[in-house]
Amino acid sequence: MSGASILTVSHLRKVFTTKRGFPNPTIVNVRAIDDVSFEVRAGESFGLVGESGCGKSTVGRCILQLIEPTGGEVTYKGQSVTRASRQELVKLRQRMQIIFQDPYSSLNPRLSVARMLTEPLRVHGLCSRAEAEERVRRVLADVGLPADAYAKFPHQFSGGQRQRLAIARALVLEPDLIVADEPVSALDVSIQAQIILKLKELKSSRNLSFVFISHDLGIVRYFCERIAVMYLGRLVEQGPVPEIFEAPLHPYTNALRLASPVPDPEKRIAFQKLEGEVPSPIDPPSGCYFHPRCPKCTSVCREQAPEWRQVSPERHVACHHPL
Amino acid sequence: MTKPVLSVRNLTTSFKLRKGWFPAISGVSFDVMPNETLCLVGESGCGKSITAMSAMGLLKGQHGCRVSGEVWFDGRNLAELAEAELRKIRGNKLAMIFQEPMTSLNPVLPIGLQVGEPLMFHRGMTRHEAEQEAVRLLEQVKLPDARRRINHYPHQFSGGMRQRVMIAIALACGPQILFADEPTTALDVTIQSQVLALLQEIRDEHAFALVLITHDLGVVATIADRVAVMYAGEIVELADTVALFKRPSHPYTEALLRAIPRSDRDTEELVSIEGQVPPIHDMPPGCRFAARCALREDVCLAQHPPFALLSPTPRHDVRCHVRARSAGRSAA
Repeated sequence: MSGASILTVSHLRKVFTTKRGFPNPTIVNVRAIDDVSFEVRAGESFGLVGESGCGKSTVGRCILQLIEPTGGEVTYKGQSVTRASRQELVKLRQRMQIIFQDPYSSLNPRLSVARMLTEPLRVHGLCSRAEAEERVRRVLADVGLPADAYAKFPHQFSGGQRQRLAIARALVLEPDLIVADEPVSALDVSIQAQIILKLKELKSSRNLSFVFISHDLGIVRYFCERIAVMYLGRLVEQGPVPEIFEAPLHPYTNALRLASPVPDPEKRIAFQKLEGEVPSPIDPPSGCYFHPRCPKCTSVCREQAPEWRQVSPERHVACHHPL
Repeated sequence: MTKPVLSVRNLTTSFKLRKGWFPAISGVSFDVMPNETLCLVGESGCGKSITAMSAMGLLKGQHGCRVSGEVWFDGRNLAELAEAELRKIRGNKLAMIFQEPMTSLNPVLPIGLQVGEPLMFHRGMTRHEAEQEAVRLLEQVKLPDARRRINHYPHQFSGGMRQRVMIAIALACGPQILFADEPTTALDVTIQSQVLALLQEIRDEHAFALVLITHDLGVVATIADRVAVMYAGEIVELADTVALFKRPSHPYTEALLRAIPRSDRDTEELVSIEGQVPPIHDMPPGCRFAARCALREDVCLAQHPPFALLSPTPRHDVRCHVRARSAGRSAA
């Protein structure tokens, strides 16, 4: 399973500045991502999990340089993405593509499917017009859309079909890595399963790697091999899927797992012991960010941020008192 | 035998589209028993919210909208009541909370006033009395520091706290039934479980019936006593929660359960439901799920299946030709 690393993210940081207060606003810094490091191996799905506002989408966008990170480095197959020149970046983006959550806002309503999907090929100057049409038709068939989709516009498709279009757009350049940012969260359960199965099929047939961003633990467990859990911009735990789900080390991972409702009345979730809410990243707590909600909190947690340490060859955790 | 607090019979709501009138829900019937939690579950567009809004009389007299059927509550048929009469019941004995608390709370009024408003309207309390009562209600829904925070505005609260404020408003007049339309969908899982725990707790404390609308079968399994599964504007299966998850009988329910990847164990095989829900203006004459169904027979395409009793205790009904027939055979 452990293929060569295809993407390395090291010590990634992103600080947004925002204004707060009225009528005399002051400028405040928000650490959206704070020292995030992980690697994605060839042919694997790496899950990024966390609640809203934890910075998982920002990580996804920083990987592709859609947002410029404040610090740290992203390398793709040994080549730096963060320090790439414009031309280099264009080349790199052929290899790395993204699928967004909402297929209603991520597709241009005024472009026909044909134009939308040939555009990337034209931008990258990859093939002639005739070849482009053939490639686009092939990719439409691959994602399970009917042949007549070629001449249609986005509004003529349902939500699930639109997400297939978004996948087709990502695939048409034949990338190696896809950042999928909540690709099924906007869809109904029955359609969700269709898209997940399709992504899984494409992953093995095209040997794709994924950075799979999601808040849904069930989907991550099904789709990913390894995951990292984020809380308030920091990674709290990382490891292979079975171990994270069966024996989580960080109290937050455990809380998340226990709070996820399961469709089985005999396994009703024990109603949450986890009190309180996610603090604002503008004004994070001292020490370990999770300490105000943590059942195992001690004085060291309040004062000192835990180190990101390796506990076994495959597992990392940032906690003073792992479970 | 206990009497239901609410009986919905043959509720049908049609909307006017360009090509004519089309039913968004048709022939919806169910009972709500005292102090139970009934979940209405289904995918988007299946009519679960329309069911709740029609039952509350919120769609009556709206332009381009027709409601028929009976809604029996407290010995009266709400469908026949005038708006003025309905207003005396809504927010009083029948309360409702919605998915996105930010759009249902008034952004320019402090929350204390909003919680107290139904008390002034229905109970004739003074502003001061209502405020005192509002503090008590907000403490009940575990809003921290309630006495000070009644003067705060909705934008000063987080999503979870706003939903608590909504629940306090709904509780104000001691409702017999609380309709909750996707109350936790906009919330993160850890906050969702706090809000679900709160709903469960106050339901027991105040002994009202909870009708919870959700698309999440995980939430259903967590909180429901009985479940009604909806598909394309109809209830297709109605059963006890345990029975429904253990022995799902409608092919749609079965397929839905197999389409959810589980977080508590490995999913051996994820099975998707191919195809799509038929559009409202093009409902097939037979079973509405037939086109996507694995058990499909000729009769399913030709005849609309009735809502048939599968087992009497605990009551389990299903709208499926094939399943109703095999149940009938095994009973005989």
